[in-house]
Amino acid sequence: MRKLDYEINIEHFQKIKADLVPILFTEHQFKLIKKKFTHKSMTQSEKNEFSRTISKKMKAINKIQEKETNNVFIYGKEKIIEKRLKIAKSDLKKFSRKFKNKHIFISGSFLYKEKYKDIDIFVITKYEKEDYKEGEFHINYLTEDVYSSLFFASIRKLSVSNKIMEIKKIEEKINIDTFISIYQELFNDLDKKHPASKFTLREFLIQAAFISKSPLPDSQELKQQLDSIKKNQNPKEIVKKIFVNSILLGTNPKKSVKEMKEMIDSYQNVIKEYKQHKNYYQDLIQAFEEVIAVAG
Amino acid sequence: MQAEEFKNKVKEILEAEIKFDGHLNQIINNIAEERESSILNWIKECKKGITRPEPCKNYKNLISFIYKSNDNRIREILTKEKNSYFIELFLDKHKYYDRKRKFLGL
Repeated sequence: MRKLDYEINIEHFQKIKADLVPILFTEHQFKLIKKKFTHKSMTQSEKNEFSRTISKKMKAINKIQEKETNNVFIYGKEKIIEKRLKIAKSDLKKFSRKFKNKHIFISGSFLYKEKYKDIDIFVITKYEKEDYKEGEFHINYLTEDVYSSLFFASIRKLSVSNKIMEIKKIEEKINIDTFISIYQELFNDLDKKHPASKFTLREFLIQAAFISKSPLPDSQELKQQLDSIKKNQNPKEIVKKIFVNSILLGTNPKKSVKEMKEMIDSYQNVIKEYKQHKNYYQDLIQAFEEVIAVAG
Repeated sequence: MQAEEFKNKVKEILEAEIKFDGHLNQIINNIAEERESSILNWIKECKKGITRPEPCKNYKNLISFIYKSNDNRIREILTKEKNSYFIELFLDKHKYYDRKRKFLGL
């Protein structure tokens, strides 16, 4: 089936029904649109009607919207510095010309912070490509599967884009296992003071918000959290607290206790062979023990 | 250093006939000598027990050592059987590393 080149937020669509029916669509057409975008099955005559009349109207509306917004869609406007927004719009145009027909958006500290390192330009492509720097611009390539990721759900909250950035269902598999993994990786990075620890910390914080069913942070909120953790004398202690709280708030207590017990057992086994790292492992599993103490 | 020479050095350090996984040939043939020696030093540290392993959740009999280059582009996973020999060296870019981590339960 051919992919539609427009999308609809069905909740919003329902809310504005009175503005649309009967001015733009008939009651019957409105029902068909709802059917289409909630992926319900349609008869052949309904499909024909959809493509013959509704789809054409929708495309036309989309074109008007693009024209009116000049192909610039702004998210989190209240947090963006006004003069930066002007620059971002012009940069977006420049890069939209360079990467023809590609979805491009700008995000990061350039939008909300007086001092910034570089301007992050994100380009959505079919295939993976290496990032590169071009003057003060950092070109980041992302593949299309990013649309259903936690990263995208977070970054879209504060960005300037040449296309509408719809909220999509998160299809990236995030659960207690992935959260334990990222906790282990982060703990190791922080212990080694690895230069890439900021990337791991960012991923950890986004997963923590998702696991604890809290709103996902936008890039400014994420940066503030990152800075305050990194400034702290003992960032590992804060990370442990975030881990424990997120697990307690967002996961099934029985399941989490079982998982934590398994992790402790695994580490106890490793300690038997690698006694020289006992202190590190005990520090790491303290968070698992705290979860058991509270949830168990 | 060519990939085959690199693999032989790794086997020599670990004193084991290990397997190799990931786009190792491609990466080794395209990285600077300095980076190669940093990877080999890390493998020596794994062998000596200086580097810390993590348990593999999906394979209870395995433990893994994880390496991240400073620029975060190259990742490695060296797998070992608990209280026994080294099994496999995985070397690749971030995306494939994530898949391998999930597979092992790291």
